[in-house]
Amino acid sequence: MQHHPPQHSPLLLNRLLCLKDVSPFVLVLDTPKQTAKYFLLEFIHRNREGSVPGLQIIFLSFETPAGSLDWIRCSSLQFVSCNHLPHKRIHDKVISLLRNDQKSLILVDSLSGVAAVDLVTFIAPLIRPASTLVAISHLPLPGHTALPTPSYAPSATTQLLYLATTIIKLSPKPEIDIDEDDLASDTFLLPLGSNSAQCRLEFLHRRKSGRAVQGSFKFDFTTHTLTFIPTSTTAGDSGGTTEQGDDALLKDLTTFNLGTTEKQRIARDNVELPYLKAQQGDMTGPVVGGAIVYEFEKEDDYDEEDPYEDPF
Amino acid sequence: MSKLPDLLRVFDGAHLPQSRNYPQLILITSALSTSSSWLLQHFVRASITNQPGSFYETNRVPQKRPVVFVSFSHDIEFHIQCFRKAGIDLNAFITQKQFIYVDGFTKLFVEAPNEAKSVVYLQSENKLAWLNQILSAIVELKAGDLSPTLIFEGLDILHALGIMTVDEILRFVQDMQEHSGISITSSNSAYRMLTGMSTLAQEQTAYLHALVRRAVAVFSIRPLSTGMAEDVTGTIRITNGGQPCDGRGIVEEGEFHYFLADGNVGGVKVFEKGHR
Repeated sequence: MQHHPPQHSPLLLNRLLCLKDVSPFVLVLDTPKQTAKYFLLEFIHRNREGSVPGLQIIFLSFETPAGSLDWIRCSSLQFVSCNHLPHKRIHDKVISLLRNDQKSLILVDSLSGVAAVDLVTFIAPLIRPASTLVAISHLPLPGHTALPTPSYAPSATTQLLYLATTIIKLSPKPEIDIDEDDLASDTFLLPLGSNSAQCRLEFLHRRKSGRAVQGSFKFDFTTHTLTFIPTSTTAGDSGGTTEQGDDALLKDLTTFNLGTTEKQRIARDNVELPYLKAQQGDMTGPVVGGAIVYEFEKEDDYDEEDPYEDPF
Repeated sequence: MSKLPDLLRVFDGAHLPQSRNYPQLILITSALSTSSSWLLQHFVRASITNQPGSFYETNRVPQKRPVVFVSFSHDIEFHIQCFRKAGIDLNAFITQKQFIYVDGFTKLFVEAPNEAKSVVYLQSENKLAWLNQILSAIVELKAGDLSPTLIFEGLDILHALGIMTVDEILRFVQDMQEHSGISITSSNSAYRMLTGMSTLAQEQTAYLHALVRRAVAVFSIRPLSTGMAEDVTGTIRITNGGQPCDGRGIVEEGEFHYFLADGNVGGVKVFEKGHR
């Protein structure tokens, strides 16, 4: 899959949050250590001021008690308690609340209560023209992966990952405090800093063309800001660490030296490789670096259906 | 004379969400060797007496809030004894209509118990009636807009015994939550109960994770990782749960040591790590 330049993703995510770009199904993944509720509330916050005329916001609640969102004070928010309703009744309720031609935002606080076999039939009627569905799916912690039912079917999360047009994954801030006590503890323990209103966000958006845009952000609900984390920095960091890690692994492994010294590494980096130089050239001068350049002409007889005849 | 002043001083109101107008769930997790009873007692006392430093009314006019205590793991005698050792007369609270004890434990195991007049016994054969029985207790203690605090103890025994599924328990808690301001529930969080391929372990994990996601604050009690100590019983950690409680509603996180003077009952002392 081809990825879009990273500088486009901050703009795109902000446009998605304000519903200026349409993504029919936004899947938000979280863990017990970092809730996605703040991100769901960010959608309400950004769209409650009437920035989209006539927008309807419907909150389908499976685990949020009625009344606990009153503090948001959003007049266009319609709260539907789904705990005791069969799926058909939930769909009917949503359809009755929607006005045909108006934009709408449908929020689902958790898909975990929906059985894996019913997921597609539950979600499909909620994906509608001019509406955005934002749904949270809870990921278990590593080591607690539940078996799908039936076991040969794809898990609920896998099904959702295929259906979603945008995938957001939330994780705690990297600087979260996990001390030795946490690792030694024989009880389930949330690290200090869990479920904070500031967290890290991974974003993947699939365009209609098939291209994907992705990026990492710092998300802060208290200031309602998204700060882009450039991927080049993290890639560079991890590359350096790997090289050092390789050297550490090779040390004392054999009686002869497998590693590289700093001097050797600098020398190797300065070697000019011929194919790299050829790629950088403008290819118009007299030296073309061994590249085969063929210009197709009108008289050439080119048969598209002949697999063996490839003038390029 | 109270034996819990240190506890109140350390928590000092700042560690819990300030808002009391919206349904909020507080989760207490504990290991097999560290009971959470003492913390539940603290919350009962803080709610009913509204001592300075209790969590409900910081920077507001003090307002007492009665308590409905639903237990599936102890009868009322156990708690009367525990509260007495902590300097609290539970019977007086019951007489003053500040406290209702809902016993879901006794009739699970005893067919015809000697029923105390002041206690509401949940009928084991009719789960649908539980909701109404607890709701009646809430309505009885409700004063104007102020809903009582609702405390659940030992709910996880219901799925372990096959009386309710995890989903049914969670729906039950949420239904009750909508009728009370603050709900508090406890759950076992020992890894030996959570790991493995057994159905019980998977259900307990699902139950615990679901409660963490619904709670505004999580109080985790665990034993010392270094083993037994003479002057420290265990560690208590306060973290945010998965439910935002209001716009800025982040609990103040922290970790403390505590010391139970007489086993699981009696005086409790809570102090910063490294202090006594």
